[in-house]
Amino acid sequence: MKSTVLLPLLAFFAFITTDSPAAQPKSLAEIPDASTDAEKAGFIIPTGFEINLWASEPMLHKPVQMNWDAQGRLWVVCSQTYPQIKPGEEAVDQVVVLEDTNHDGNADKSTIFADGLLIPTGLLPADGGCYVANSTEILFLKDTDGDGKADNRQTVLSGFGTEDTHHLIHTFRFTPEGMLSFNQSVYIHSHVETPWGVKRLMGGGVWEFRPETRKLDVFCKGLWNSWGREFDRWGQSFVTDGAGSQGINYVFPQAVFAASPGAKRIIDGLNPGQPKQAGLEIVEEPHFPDDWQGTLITCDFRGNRINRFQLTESGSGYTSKQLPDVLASKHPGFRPIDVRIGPDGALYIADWYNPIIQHGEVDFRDPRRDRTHGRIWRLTAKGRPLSESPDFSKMDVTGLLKQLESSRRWNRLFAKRELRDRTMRNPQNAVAALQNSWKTVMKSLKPENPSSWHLMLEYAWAVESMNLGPLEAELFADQLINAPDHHVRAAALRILSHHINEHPHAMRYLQKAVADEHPQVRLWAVACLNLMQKPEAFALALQALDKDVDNNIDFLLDLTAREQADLWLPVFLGKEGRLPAVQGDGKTPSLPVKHLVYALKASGRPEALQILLDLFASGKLSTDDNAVVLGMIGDVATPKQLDQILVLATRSDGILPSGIAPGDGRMPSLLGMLDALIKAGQRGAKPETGAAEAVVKLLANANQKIASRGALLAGVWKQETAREQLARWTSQSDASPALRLAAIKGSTYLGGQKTRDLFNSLTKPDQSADTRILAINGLAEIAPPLGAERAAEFLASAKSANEAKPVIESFIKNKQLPQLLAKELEGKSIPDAVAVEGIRIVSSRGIKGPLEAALQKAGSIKQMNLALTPEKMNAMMARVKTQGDPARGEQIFRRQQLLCFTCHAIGDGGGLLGPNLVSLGSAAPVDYIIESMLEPSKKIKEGYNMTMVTMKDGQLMAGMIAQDGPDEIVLRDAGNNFHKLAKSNIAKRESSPVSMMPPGMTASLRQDEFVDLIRFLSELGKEGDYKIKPNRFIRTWRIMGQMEQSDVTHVSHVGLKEFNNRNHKLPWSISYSSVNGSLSLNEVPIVSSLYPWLPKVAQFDLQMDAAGKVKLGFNNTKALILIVDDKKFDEVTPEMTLDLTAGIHVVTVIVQTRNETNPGKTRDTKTMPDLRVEILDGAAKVVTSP
Amino acid sequence: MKIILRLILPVLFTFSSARAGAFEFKDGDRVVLLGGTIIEREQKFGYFETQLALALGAKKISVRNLGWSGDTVFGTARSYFGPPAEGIERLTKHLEMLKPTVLISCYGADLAFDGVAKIPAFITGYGSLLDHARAKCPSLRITIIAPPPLENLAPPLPDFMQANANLASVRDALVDFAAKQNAHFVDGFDLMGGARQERPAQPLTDNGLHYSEAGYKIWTSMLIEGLGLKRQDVVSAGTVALRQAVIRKDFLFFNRWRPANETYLFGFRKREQEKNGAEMEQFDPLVDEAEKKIAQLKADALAVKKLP
Repeated sequence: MKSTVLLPLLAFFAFITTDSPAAQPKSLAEIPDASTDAEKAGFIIPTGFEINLWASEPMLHKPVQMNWDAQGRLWVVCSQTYPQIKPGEEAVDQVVVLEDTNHDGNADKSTIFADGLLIPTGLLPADGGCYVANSTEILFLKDTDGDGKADNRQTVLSGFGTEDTHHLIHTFRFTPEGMLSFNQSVYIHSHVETPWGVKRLMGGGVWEFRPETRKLDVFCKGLWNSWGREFDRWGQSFVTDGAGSQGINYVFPQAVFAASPGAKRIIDGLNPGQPKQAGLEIVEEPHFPDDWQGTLITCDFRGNRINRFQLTESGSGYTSKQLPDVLASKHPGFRPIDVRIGPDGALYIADWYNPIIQHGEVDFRDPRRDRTHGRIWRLTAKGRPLSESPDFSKMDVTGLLKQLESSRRWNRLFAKRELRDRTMRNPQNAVAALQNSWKTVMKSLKPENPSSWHLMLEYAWAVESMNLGPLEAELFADQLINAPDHHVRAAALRILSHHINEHPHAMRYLQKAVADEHPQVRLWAVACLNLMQKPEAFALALQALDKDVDNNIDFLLDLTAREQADLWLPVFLGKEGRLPAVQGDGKTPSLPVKHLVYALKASGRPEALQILLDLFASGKLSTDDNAVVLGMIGDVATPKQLDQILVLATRSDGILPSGIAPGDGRMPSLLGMLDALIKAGQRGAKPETGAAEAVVKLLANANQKIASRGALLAGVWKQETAREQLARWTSQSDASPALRLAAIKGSTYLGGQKTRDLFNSLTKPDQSADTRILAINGLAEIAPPLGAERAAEFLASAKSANEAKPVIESFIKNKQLPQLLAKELEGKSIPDAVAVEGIRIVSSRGIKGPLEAALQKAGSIKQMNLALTPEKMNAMMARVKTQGDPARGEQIFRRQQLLCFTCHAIGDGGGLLGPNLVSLGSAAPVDYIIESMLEPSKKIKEGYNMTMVTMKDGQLMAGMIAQDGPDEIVLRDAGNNFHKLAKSNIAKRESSPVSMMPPGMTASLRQDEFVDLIRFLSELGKEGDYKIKPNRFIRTWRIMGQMEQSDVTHVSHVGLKEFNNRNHKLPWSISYSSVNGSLSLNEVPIVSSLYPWLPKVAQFDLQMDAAGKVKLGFNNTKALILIVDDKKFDEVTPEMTLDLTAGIHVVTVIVQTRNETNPGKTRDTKTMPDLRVEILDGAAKVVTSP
Repeated sequence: MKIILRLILPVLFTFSSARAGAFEFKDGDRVVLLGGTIIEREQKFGYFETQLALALGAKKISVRNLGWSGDTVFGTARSYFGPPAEGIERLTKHLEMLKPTVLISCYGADLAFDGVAKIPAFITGYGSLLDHARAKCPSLRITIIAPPPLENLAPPLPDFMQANANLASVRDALVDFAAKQNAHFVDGFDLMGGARQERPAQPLTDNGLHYSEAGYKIWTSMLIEGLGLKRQDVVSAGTVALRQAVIRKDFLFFNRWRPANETYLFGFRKREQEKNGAEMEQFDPLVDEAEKKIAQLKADALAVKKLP
């Protein structure tokens, strides 16, 4: 049978390049047995569950999405044409209806409802027919003569993009109020004419559509492949992503997620570092155990398994915890892509079946692409009764309404559908029946009973789904909006959002909701106010600032401020007079200053600055607001406005000229003003008057912090008179490092022959290394050839790679500098460590040209022959299989000098520059991994290309585009630093064909080590020890390095709690847990002089969106001390419950190594168990930062 | 019978307001249809080409539909990842490929919602679009079609009276524009009955904007007459076969000029599937074959027509 199995499909990670089928890795030829028996034998099913094959080919082929109808028939959309129609081929894709007519747990009937479709990717039976995504359009197919086949075909919407056929619109679902929800993926651009105007969506997003009004709206934007959406019982919805890696995403109106083109700011998913997922189901089904209720099920199609998540409310959103897998498979062809609970309560799994998953990366015409198989599997809980589905068509309205009380979502959903269908057929009857029943419900409503309110909500949704108009909806609105349960109040606002501009009391409701005690209600209030698109609505939304503002709420306020600035800004600035910005004549209500500052700042508009500047000058702003205004001054202030700031900074009653004591409360404000002036100066903006006098005063100031800012201002303002003073400071031994740096920078800005001579003298070997580095850096800017000469001299005698690094970095800032340095290195010899560091910097920044070769030669680094011949590759793969030791491989992966974690995460711990390796082994063949390691540029994963940006001033930046906004891009460089680059300053952008991962990273490894490393990587994500467990282990740590004696003395004096004082700079470094969740204590040094504890110190940060309890679990408690914020726990128990407020909390774990029998000596730490800490319960997020 | 009545009434109304004069088609003309949703969806039915082919008798022409849902005179919907200007660029490439001699263009439906304030920009953009087209095809003859009125289908669909007032203004602007462009003008707005408050007894659209099959039958007949030709029978067996052949050709051509997976075949990830981009040209002989079949079925249908 092997010969009939065809490989491949989907795709999102560029695992295989596409030269030709022959160039495919050979391991892909290891095609598994495609029989259903073989596939079934591969399942790993948890105790208490069983699985059976419900349907398979020829009943269906290549299922893409599925949904049930009220009669318990499963509608599946199938595409064999995917990925691309071939010239001469007909459109042959199908809608198949599967049925288990004798209820024995196996489908026994398959009907082709429709064919002749072209790569259909979504469907939903509804309204007496079926909605189908058919490439560019949504069709409504109807069977009018009852023969089971569609005979009527209507185009409902058209204009959806097809730029990528695995991105086509998909994931058709019902919203709780009966709309059609569907998603589109990242490459799609849609332009849809509707009776409400043309709707456009560029990139990914979620659409919602009401068929009878033909109203189509974008609900939220972004995500790569949002292949799952489902609603919980309160109408909140969640989306999964088949190419992002953040697990479950909580979506709300206007939210913007990763990958949305032009996004200035995005919302993160709830499970960073998760594998990619398709499909989503939320369990509300008594056939499943109680602890499954409300949990989310989604498919990790790459890892051949099905995941489950549990949500906890947190602030306006949620935290998500991964639970043990629903099931897994050892069969590489098992590709679950959709999950739905069926009429009997079992979980049905659409298995697209394909041994590998690729879209663009495998040739569309590769004969190994599987275009025939497809299965539906059925998972049941052993010993638990199956559910029965009622016949909704036979129920009267009262009976249907009774179903809305059901704990099964199935019953509630299809009862609402039936009510809707009847209303469409006979509106009067349905409405009358509903109104009678409604009165009964109102009477029986018990405000203290939550289920009573849920029923009320279901009623409201039923009414909405009949689309009876705002009047009927209003029956409910007054009740719901005042419900005691915040879920109901938030859900009421979702209903309101659909009538936002028609509802007569919308503003009144929202006035209350924006001040609601629950943040989720406030979030939805802000969302509704955003949708209104009116200045007064925005002014009201700003009232959310008066309560706790979490990230979601802040996101929406900020977005509204930016996107609707044209609407509200003229009004707020008083030009149109309705909402004067500040208290004027006392007659009109004014906005609180805090609201005004927030809005004006978020708008980013220069015209907003003057009013802020006046507020700043009058001293009316809070410290935070002051910082905001100063930031804007640096960015956009005019010379006249800079005058105003300069006067403030140097006025007589201020700190000048008498000096200001450190600790004076005015100090931050003064420094802030000076920094703002410097920032403005760097963009060439200078006060109109007073610059020269100010510089004199500043330079004379006794406080070096002020004087150093004076030095910088002297430079950016080109104050020649200051030159000599600056020159003196550059080599004055009692000047602080900051002052010397400022003097050098100031001199650089001044430029000219004098600066050149000064710097030249400072680069002499008799100067300290720090001074030389600074001077070389300065020369690189003002006299590049001379700088290159000095740099080459410096490198030749550099003592370490660290010392060399800043010098090399000075010479990669534009395209000319690397060439100059390369020339100067000719014939010179530099230490090999310096050369290796240089090569690493140069290749990871994408610098082309001769510098890399020059460094190689100067450092006598041997050229590695990196590419393997096919024979050698085969031999290497065999060795990996037979000799590779994944445990040793993990140790190698963790070695500092290999820098793996600098760029790559495994799960939720590690760098973000390169692809997450969490399921590398289960998704990529071994030869792919080997090749990626040896020749990184051959296999660049999609979305990880390096971009080279040339600025208009010639500066060159390289990195990954983290955000591509309308006015700026954010570049993440190889050192994981973010750079915001204004688009107006960018001259050119190029995508580099060179990987950011330099070749030869593994050159230092012996072959056995290389084999172990590859083995480790190839095990990642496969069933076994190297699959990340769902437990919420702390995976990102700060560990304490070697402390200075002065710091040790300080901590001894103040106490261990001082470790939690983040303002006290200590030598922390980031470390990540192993795949099994443990932090290896061998990698944490002992702080040897810190008596009596002689501790190893590790620390992490927890973020809470709202106050709550968090339970931490410890694998070992012996010799531990725990410090949470400023609270110290000398007794650590295996489970510790912490009561945490909203915000970020620092948690330190101290492992004492003191030898109890011989104090002053350490214990044998090799026998100490590794540290494994887990969040057992609570809505805490790990946010450990460097 | 009702349909026939509906056909006749607007026609009578039309002759008074439509511009006099016929558009002259020449033997061998290559016709391109251009516009938004209303043009794009015509390819599902094929009525326009069927009637045009029959109306022109012995003259041979070919028709290619470059309609694109949601498109504007600025090329908004054709631009994929880029700004609208790239949409215009893509369109001119398609025109270069097809080398049309006749352009029949229907834009302006989006102004029903955007409002009359946008009309000047629309007219400027339209001019620029035609300049681009003429630059590629210097001897291009152009027909401008005013977008049809919207049908007021009653709640829960919106009231379109303001939208129709806007479309009437668009029509007025297009009359002048066509004259200045030396283009033939078809008043699709009046031909389809102009703005009407009441709900039609038998709506031609599903949503007020976009025609169902019955709507296309009528709208295309109006266009044929607006071009100065005689409407044709589309019901007889021979013409039905002809129309099916037109639909088949349009399907093949659609997959040729607007293929799925643009990103991989020609776009920024073409490194991965560029060689399969060559497949698009393999549609050309299939389209040619479909053209031959259309020619044959047209000849058959004309022969039947001549029979007493």
